[in-house]
Amino acid sequence: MNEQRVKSSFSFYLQILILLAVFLSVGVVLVQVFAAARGMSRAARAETDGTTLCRSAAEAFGASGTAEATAALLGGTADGETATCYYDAAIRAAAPDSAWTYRVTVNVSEEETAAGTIAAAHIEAYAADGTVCASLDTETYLPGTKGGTAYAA
Amino acid sequence: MKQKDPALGALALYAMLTAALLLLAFLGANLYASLTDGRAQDETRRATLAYIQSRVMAADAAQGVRVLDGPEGDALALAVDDSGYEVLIYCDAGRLWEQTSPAGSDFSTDAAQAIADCDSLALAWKTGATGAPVLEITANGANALVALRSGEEQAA
Repeated sequence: MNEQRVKSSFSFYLQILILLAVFLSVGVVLVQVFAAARGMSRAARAETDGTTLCRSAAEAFGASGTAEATAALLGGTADGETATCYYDAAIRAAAPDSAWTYRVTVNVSEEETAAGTIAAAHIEAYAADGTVCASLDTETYLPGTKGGTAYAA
Repeated sequence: MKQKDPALGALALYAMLTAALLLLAFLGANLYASLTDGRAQDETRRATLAYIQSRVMAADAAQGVRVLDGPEGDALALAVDDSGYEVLIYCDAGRLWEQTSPAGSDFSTDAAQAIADCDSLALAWKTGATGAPVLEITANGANALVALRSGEEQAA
């Protein structure tokens, strides 16, 4: 009688332990799924913000044609043929020494053609960890040559 | 020596299991809420900025884009060709509104269509090195620029 009771108790605890193990496994999987979803959401947000920033930089470059003038419009700094601007998480211009979230660079190059001077810009938006969120290429005719702006995304 | 009650041990295990389940459900709900909130904010920001940018680009013609004082912050007045009508885009009561009405009409959300949630809208003209006017749009705290090719926009 006593032996049967011990067996029954052992069986009960075994069931509980198996249930606990299964439950923990499901929990681990769910946490991983949620973590992955959060990571994807963060990446999507960075891509959205990066695209918006690149588009703005392209507009500024289209109205400027040079790195210095582009930086002035964007509220950033220019070093040679590269304009750099920093933004916070709300896509507002931020100081380089602040806790910025995005960095946008506009690399400008000029090409003399039969039609006139074409300024090209390669625009990239970086997250704070250095990954590229978005990039964009654009070209513009410099004033006094042809006029107008052409985009090549 | 007093023997432990096996039912008490089982009860403790069930209590642990239930507590862990509740904790997991709570954490999951919080994570899900933060994900959906973040996505909603992104969509609102993207929708508002992209919408205004697109509307301004579409209305880029001589005297086609004007900046007015709106009910809350600035407002955009975009001419509809030479029809005498204009599209007013403004922020009011936490939403972005689009109103198509005869030029010079007052702002009225009764005659407007809500576009997206919007806490604030600020518009400022800048000038590029080429002389092209650049409209700086600040909606929900986020900035975007639009360069206007026609070059004849003005603030009211």
